[in-house]
Amino acid sequence: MKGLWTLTWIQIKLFFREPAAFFFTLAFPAIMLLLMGGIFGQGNRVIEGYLENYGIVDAMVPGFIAMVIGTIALMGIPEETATMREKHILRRFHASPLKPMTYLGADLLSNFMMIVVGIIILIIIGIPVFDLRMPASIFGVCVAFVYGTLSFFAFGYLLAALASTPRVAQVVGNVLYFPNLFLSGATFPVEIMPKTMQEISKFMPLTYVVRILKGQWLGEGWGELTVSLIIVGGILVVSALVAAKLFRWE
Amino acid sequence: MNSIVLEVDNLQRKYGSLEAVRDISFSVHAGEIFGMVGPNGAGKTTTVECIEGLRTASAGTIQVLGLDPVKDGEKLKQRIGMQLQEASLPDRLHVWEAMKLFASLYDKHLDCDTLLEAVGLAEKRNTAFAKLSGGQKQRLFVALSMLNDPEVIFLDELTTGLDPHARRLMWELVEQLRSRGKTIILTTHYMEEAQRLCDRVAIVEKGQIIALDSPEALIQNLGVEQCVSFSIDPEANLEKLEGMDRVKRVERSGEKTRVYGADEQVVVDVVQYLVAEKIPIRELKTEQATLEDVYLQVTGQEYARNGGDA
Repeated sequence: MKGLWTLTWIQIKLFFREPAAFFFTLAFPAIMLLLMGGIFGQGNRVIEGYLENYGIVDAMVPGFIAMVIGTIALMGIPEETATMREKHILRRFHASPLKPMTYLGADLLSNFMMIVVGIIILIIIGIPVFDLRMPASIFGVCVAFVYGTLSFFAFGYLLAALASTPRVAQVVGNVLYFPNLFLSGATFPVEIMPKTMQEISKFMPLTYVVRILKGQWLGEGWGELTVSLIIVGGILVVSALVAAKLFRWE
Repeated sequence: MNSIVLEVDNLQRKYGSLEAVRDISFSVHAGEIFGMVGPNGAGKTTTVECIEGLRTASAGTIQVLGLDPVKDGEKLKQRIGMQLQEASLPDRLHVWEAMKLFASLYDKHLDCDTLLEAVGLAEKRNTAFAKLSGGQKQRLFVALSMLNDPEVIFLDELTTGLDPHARRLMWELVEQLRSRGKTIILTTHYMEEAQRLCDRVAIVEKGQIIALDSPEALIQNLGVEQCVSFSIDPEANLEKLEGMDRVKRVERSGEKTRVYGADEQVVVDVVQYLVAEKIPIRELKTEQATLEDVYLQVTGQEYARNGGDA
């Protein structure tokens, strides 16, 4: 894993020099929170099995976390990786002793750290402005977050490996991103959608990341999340195996 | 010239039905600068990339520093350096960050600042990659190829697309590497470059080596004529010159005159004649055969031969 930390550090620096990535990962979720929180307010609702007296913003924040995961995994990773390949940047790496797994590891770590920063910003805004309540289980939310992120990132690298050009990666990423964004509960709660849309949301992979994040934030037990955990795990295993097999420098 | 550091035996590389490399064999000694020249698509880059371990050979064996470039890829990449024909870095990556990043990948490496100084990029260390000129980018890639103090360095079309000044700078860098005893394998389109830098040159065409020797030997074996050119009064009488033993023929076009002879002595004969006859001359030049003449002749023969077969 020689070079892992240097490459991770440099990727983070490059991230901060890229206005689009910076905006969609760090600023956009915060803006969404301010907007949606401002429109709906925190309020108070009680649904059986959930954290007592949780509010609308409490239910929104885990969705926004899933949104950031989806943004990086579907919009960021595939196009970015395909661009690095097309511009022969990966080729220059291939000419060095850098291993594919070290490259992917550093890319994953740097993206991961940026999402963590995005979440911290969400929480920092959420608590004073909307009286956001901390998760029922902080540990549980962390586990759900890491699990969901790894799964979707692996899927992102799979798309990157399958896409022949950055253009293709971008189109495929967009086609998958927008339905996932709006129909998974990441932006609007699935619970307020009509029956038909709720049925459609079951076909959105991001729905299950939203479910486990929300479940852990609002105090559901792991047992009630079994189906979601299996689906997210399935995406993780299949994507990671195929992506590792198909990885190419050029 | 001592031990062999690189050996290629019957290398073949096919892309579908296309034979990029048909059958190439050669070896390179420690400290040698070995050049490959040939037209686009001749198979130079494919050959070099097979040796570097960036591509796999369809057939044949390659040994670099006793290692197999594919099987021992990472081990080998610790000991060799390469500048690729096509490569890039992230636009917003700064020069010193690129150096630091690649340095972190090697077991041992040279001092980054000293190296930037050596390639003349010291004052560009905080510049983003995208803001560098073509020549500066190329110098950065050369610096990266030297970073691990490699035993063998591959330079694939080092000077293509560079202006004459940048090209001279590159040549100086290569000559510095030579003086430090590095083994260098380079490909180029420029015969002048190959003639100046290389100890031996392989002329590659259609995936095969069609000539391989030192530039001097290649030129000598060519047996091309010596030529003297000058400008004189178009009315001047050159009949006696045409009758001289060493003079093969005289071509005149207005003032411009070219005299062809069998060897270098013809230059002396021509000058002596013109002085004796009191013919005023301007723009006297002797034209020696260059590697370019060799190249044009051998690749031309091959072209004719293939044309004849078809």
